[in-house]
Amino acid sequence: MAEEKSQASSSKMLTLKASDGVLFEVELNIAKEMKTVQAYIDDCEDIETIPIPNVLGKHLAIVIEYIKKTNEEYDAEFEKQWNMDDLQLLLLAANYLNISGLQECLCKAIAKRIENKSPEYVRKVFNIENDHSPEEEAKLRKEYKWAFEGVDKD
Amino acid sequence: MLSESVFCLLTEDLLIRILDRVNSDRKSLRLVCKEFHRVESTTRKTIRILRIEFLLGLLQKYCNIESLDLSVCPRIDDGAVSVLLSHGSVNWTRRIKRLVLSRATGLGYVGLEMLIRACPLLEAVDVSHCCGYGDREASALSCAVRLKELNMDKCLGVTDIGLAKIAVGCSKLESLSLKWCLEISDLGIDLLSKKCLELKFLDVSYLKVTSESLRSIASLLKLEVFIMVGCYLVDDVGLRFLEKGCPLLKAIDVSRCNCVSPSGLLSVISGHEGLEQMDARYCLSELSAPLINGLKNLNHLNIIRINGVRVSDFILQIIGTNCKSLVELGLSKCIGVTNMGIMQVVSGCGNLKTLDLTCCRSITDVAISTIANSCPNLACLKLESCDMVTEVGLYQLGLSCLMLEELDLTDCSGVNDIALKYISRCSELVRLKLGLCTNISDIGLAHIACNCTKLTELDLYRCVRIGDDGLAALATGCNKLTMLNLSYCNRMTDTGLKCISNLGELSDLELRAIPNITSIGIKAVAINCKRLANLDLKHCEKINDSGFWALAFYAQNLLQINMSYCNVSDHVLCLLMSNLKRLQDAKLVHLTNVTVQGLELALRSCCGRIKKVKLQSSLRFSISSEILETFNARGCKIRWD
Repeated sequence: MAEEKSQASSSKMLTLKASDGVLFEVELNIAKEMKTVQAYIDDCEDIETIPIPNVLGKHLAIVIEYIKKTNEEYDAEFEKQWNMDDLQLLLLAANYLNISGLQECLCKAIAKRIENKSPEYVRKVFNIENDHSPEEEAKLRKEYKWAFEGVDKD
Repeated sequence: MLSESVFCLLTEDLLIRILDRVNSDRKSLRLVCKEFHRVESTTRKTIRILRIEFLLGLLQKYCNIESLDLSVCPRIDDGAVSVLLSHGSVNWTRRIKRLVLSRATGLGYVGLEMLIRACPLLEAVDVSHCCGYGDREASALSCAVRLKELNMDKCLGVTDIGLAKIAVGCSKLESLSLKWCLEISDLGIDLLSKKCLELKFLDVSYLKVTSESLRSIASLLKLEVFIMVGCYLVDDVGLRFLEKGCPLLKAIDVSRCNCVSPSGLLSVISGHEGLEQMDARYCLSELSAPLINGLKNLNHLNIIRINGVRVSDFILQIIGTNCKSLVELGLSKCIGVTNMGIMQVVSGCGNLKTLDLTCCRSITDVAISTIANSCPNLACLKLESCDMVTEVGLYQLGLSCLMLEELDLTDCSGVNDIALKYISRCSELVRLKLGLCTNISDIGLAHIACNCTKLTELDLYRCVRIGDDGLAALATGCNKLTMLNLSYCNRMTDTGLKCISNLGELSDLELRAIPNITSIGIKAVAINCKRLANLDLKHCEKINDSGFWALAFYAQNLLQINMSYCNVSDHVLCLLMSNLKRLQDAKLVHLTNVTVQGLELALRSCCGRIKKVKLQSSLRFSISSEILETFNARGCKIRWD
């Protein structure tokens, strides 16, 4: 009896609804990797469709794929496919959904892309502006003159 | 730029986690934008200050640091500390757990005490090589009530009184290093052993303590690591105290203790069958039969170093049969090491990672092949002066030991270009020594350059057949090189030196007696090797003022320079000594174009900063005594050649 029950629960399907309305059917054990979803299920047992308001369908698809396939090799190749904007959005999604493995993988990936790079490169890659005033920047550059060694050529 | 970038959505804690995983130094990221700056400032935990003029500003921004390293900050003194601590908010001291003040000879007991009292959570202090430190400084250190780790190596003035103050004040001490504190005697050690019961690590190397100290030390129930290198007054009687004492002892080092015999070492072993590390370098001439027998019980030994001892095949067989956990074996300068002995030890100890066979001249290719086949995890192999080793043995090494990181083939005349080709298969190589291997040429070097891309240290001392072509290959293939020795490689010209200048990580460069390099090459190095810290140009007589001027202007990170026998003039020497603000050690022997007045001016210009200068002894009575006295007063040593 117990066996049947556990079999049933492992093949039970859940529906996740992304912020743009896209629906995903996932197995329960996949969904449980998302601690946020797990908490949702714990609170209301009979739920069938769980809304994920902060994550676009495109990113939720990637997250689900990651959970299904994650291993050392997959992780190594995974982060190479996405641009910086996607990496950040995926990180926000992983953070919201509370998936620690994916968060770690993405933080490392973003860190790897900015280590040893010049501030100009980092701004370009994150698409942000330099909000230091010219005086502040001059002062920082002078203070940290020695900070510019060992920086990769962009 | 877009007005709303995804970055704005990132929360602060996510940015903190990303920055935490940046493996390089995060300094330059501060300039990206205010958010990066703020996050970097609040999360930085360790800082190593390079220049004193930035000290105050940096510490005001970095209020969460746990580890502060001032050891390369020239001339930090009591005045500077007073300013640091009186300037408004002293937030930065509240979390400091570790202070590195090694060689901070300018800091006195007043400043030291102020600093220590300001850091309530202080757990680790390093004041090693502050040679003038004595009991007043020890008293300052004893104010750190929570202190767990203390390194006082070479604090020459500390006596039993100072040690007593520390023992009483810092009762939680777990790790203490007192190497070279020659004024300490048995009395001090006795009090230490009675008060600091938590001690796990104790180093009393070179102290004039006797066996009585070991009677006291034996009572330290938590002691795990005990180092007593060069304690020539301790004999077997002392070691016998240890037999029943220090029940948790895991590592012992009795190297260079002349009065210790195999019987004494046996006492230590008999009481501690869980011993993991045994160091008896250059102290025993032979291993006695009971000692060899005792080795059979040491099944947990990871590290054995018995340099200089006479061994035999039988002894090596015993080790191979019984010490199966062995990870490091040191047989440097041992007599009686044969192929058979090596084969017997490595066939039993397949986990060996480090093997030192320096000067074991009887070793041939047969032993190397066996080592290669038995020890796939080998990471470090030292074969200096093993001149019967040829490409035949090294072929096996390149085939089987792919984890090899360090290889020393200094003075191995059997090494040729083919051998280098085989060795280059070890693509994890980080440190490679080929000094005095006169049979290697650019061809062999090119193999290394192609495949050993992780190389950071390369020694080609007196490899006279190396030329510009080999260096070109090296500069392209091994761009992580930090240390390079090309002394006496006299085929090298400016072309080769310009290639070397492309090595952006280079910090140590030795170019002694290379007759064809000129200012053109040196200028390239000065401009491009921004991390250059140690430079040796002794006897490079074609370099003139132009090259040294470039060094004075561009090589701002230079810590040590050897310009002996070089052709520099008064004016440029003075420029060099005054401009290079981080210079701490200069060798200026026989500068033929420099006058006494010029030299005096140059010395005056660096007086407050420099720590060591070497001059020719004939100048001893020509240089004004006022300068010599000032140098002495400022803690700077002048050595006479």
